[in-house]
Amino acid sequence: MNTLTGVSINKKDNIFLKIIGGLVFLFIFIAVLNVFQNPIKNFLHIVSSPVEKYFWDAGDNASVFFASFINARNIAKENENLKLENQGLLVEITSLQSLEKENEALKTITAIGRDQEFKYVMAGVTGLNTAEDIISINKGSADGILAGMPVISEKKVVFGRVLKVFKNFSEVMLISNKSNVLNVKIPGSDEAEVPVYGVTRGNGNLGIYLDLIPIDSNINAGDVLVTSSLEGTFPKDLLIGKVQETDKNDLKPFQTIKIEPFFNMKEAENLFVITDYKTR
Amino acid sequence: MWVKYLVIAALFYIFAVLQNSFLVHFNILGIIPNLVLIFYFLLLFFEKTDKFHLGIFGAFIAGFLLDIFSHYYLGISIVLLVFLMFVVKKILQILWDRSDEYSIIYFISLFILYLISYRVILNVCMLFLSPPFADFTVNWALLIVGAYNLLFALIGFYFFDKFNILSGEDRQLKLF
Repeated sequence: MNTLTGVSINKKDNIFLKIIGGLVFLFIFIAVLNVFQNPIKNFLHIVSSPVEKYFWDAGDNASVFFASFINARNIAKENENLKLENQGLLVEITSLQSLEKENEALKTITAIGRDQEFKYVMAGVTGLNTAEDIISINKGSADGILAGMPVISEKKVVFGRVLKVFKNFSEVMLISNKSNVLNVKIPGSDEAEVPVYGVTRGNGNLGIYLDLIPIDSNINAGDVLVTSSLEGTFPKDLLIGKVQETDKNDLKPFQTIKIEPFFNMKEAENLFVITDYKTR
Repeated sequence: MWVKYLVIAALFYIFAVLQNSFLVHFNILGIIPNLVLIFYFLLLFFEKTDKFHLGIFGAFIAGFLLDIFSHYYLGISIVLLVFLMFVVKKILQILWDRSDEYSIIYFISLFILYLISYRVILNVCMLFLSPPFADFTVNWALLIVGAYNLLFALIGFYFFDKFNILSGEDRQLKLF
């Protein structure tokens, strides 16, 4: 037998055995990781939560600082626009105040309180995965959170729904996630006008668009979208976004409309999980 | 020697936390750089082509952290990064054989290839494991992903080069 060939064959066998051994080890390691996936993720999120919160706040402050330089020119223009909008809203408030008085009287008689419909759990955002449009919040099954629960801000803006629950934290799928579909309506400008119903779909990168709007529907830039509660996930009349620009194509049966979402990660310090949503 | 591995693991963890919490506020149209992937590529690029210790160690740590801070099953990114390590090392060996000098062009080209490969293979895995999260959309956003990641990768490249990090051999690194 040729000694050199024998040595060469042994070396090749060794490498082959090493590769097989490595693959077996990798397979077992990954299997064990996934068996204990929930406690591992939960533990690391508990440990990382204070660090993530610190960096989240630091990033928020730093971005505001830099944004002031970048947006200096636009701030004055935005200020003027806001002043005009404010004046319009003041007029609207005056007319609504009289309606509110009537409503208060009705409430006293019927004893219906809107806030008693829902129970909320306040949660802090600890991280955002921009590749999947999923955020992490610091409340989990130990706090009564269940998958599917809606998540909104204090201003009743829809952020998304709980996707996966761990013991001390949860993953929330934003409405901008590409697999998310949400039934919405665009209320008419007056009570006589019939609302327009459609769906918003996630576009990724924190963007959404409106779909399945009949071609003959009259949608204008600035129209506000709210939840319709048709799919039973979100209560109705929660804020989604406003129409940015329409794209009417007579060859298609439906319009596709670009939406500016109201949810803003810069204002997502505290969110609310609705734990006891009841349909009306 | 173990200190080196501890420092690398700590850096991976810090980068993972930074990209999930700090850099979120500096997103460009919802896109942020993946510091963990960038740092792992830098380790592969600057480690000797016939050595795999840092590559395998980095694949486990980086892959683990990428999966922890995402919705994926644990281990997907580990397997992906181990695979990409062998591919990148092989390409670097070929480039090293052809020329004694590396150029920034090799770095940029290989980095873009590495990023695209990671994204494509990951989405193929998602197609089988979690179909709603598979995303094969090709649009302008990919340009921003590439550019934003490349910016941080180039900063890392010059940092590694200037401070001769992982330089176990005499490499001539030239711009062009």
